[in-house]
Amino acid sequence: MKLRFVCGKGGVGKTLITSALAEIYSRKEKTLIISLNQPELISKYLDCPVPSNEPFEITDNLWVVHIDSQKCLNDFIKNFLKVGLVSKWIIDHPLYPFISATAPGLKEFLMLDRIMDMFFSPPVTRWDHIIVDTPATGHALNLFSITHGLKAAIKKGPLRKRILRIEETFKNKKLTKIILVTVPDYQPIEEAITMFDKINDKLNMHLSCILINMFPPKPPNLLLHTRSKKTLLSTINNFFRNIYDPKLKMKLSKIIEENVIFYKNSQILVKSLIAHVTNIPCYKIPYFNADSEYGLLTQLVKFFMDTHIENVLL
Amino acid sequence: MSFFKKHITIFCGSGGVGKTTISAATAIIESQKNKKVFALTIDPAQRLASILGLKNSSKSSKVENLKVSMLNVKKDLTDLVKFYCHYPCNQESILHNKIFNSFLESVSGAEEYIAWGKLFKILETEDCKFVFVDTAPSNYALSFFSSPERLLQILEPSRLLKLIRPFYKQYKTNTFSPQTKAGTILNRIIKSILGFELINEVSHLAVSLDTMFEDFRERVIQAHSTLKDPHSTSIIVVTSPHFHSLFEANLIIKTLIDNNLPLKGIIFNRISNYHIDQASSNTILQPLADRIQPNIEKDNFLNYYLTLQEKEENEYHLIRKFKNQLPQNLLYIEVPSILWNRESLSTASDLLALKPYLDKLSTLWSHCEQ
Repeated sequence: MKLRFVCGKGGVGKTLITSALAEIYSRKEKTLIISLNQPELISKYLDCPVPSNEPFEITDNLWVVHIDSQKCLNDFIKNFLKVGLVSKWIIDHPLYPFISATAPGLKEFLMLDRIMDMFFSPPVTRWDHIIVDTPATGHALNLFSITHGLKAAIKKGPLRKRILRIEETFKNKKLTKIILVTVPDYQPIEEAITMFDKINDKLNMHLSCILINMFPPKPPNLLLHTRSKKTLLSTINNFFRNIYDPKLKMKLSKIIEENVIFYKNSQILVKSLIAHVTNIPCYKIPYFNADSEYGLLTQLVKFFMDTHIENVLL
Repeated sequence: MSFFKKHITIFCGSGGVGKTTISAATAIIESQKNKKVFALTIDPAQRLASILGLKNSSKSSKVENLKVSMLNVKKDLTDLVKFYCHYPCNQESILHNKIFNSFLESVSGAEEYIAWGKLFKILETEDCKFVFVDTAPSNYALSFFSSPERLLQILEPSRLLKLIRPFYKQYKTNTFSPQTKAGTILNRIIKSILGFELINEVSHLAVSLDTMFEDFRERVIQAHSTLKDPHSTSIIVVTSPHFHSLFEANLIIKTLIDNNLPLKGIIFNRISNYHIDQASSNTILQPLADRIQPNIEKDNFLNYYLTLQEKEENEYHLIRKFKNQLPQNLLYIEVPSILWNRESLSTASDLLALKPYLDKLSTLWSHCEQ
């Protein structure tokens, strides 16, 4: 049984990567995607109905579910209080959303508890592989660190057992791993480094690898090895020597010049990341073109298969 | 002009599209025109933060005419309580209240409410003509925007007391304790989950808020109606040519339109700048292959160009498709991706490279120039 959390800043491609990995895993194992984010995007990537609160099989061995924190809390109140009328009164009260927002970590705990329930399902319904699409960086880290505070607050009872269940599962390298996703840009790399530090220092969890998404295409060596902008420009102009339309020539030159610079910057950023995250493998995922979300997924799946990355991620 | 004699511009959009950079750039551009500008930012990257003079949060920047503030949840909430509540003893009581404190720690909700509170305070107290706000990339930002009633309802003291009234037979002022059996049980359950006596904390909070609530309510409603007024506020959605950002931008735009909020423009950021349309592309491609000087690198070079061309085409079509389904009366701005060598982004004036693209935004507040 494997539990994987895909984490990263907003906009780096977590949902797409989660979907692609799950599609590949589902070829051999019974796989569940848990979305903690907006569920509509997954339905676009996988070309399936929008995930609901109950796990739903979209193709052979591939299941999806959406966990809504508010619903978790509502269900918890209903089950915990058992008296139907009282719980209904609480949930309908205008103050309820505020109270639920203030309960320190309660919603987050319930989400993780639900993930645990699915992970430890009875063998008949159990999934071999669960992969979770987490919210943007800050929120995901909060999610992982709540067990610490809750353990201090709740010293005994059934709730404590469930808190410990989360902690033990997360700690166990054989069961749980984090996959960190970033893009080769300044702020995302900064945040990836911060997250790496937090995972190492504060959380008792294991980072499997770092995926650098949307990596720009590699320019030809001749352009890559130019030492100055001046040389770069003259090399480019040399290629376009026989084009006489000056506007066209400028456009062509500019496209190439800017992308070469972008590639070089990306390489530098990735180098600094790799230097910092010693011992954690980092993989570059190229930028793909597609005219639909599903097309994008297909290309990413093919890339993972061709490069055998998914074997490493396992 | 508006009630507060200010124009407010709010930038929304999904994560990773460049909202913070664009918001900062717009603020700097306007401050250069000798206008008094205030920029409120949520979580800028280190480099941007130091350009704006923010290394130690909430510091005034060194750019003339520009005042910048970064959101700091704990500090800003304390400031807001002191701002709205005139009695020091009540201020302390509120700030120490366990509910208030757990509200600060909760993952969802606090940051967005406090950001709005801070904006309202800026509207009331700052001597500036233009305010630029960079929002957090979440939908909470917008759900509050569409109605402050929810927050007001939550904090209204009489409602707070109504929550606990059924569980009490009678109570004395400032001393609340459960009188009914149900009240005792509920209190115990809640204490075991939350770690404090909810009913006690709620009632103390209600009493402390009571003295300030009416005034607070009036001011929040005034500030909020300013935000909804297209004359004083402009909302700009920022997006990039990627499926996920366009997808979220669609959701945000829908929310804005459904709630009658002053959406004025869309900024497409990180666009490939030099678009060559398909027709021109076809006519040059084969001849291009022939006309490039033959050498060992030729094929690699051509392939590289073709890859870039394909990427550009794709993004162009994505943006066009997205744009076609939008209302026609909005301002559309495209900002290219690589304007400067990112290494050289070290001073405020570097952001001025965005000026030719963002200047169009000033048509949205030209009616405020007096």
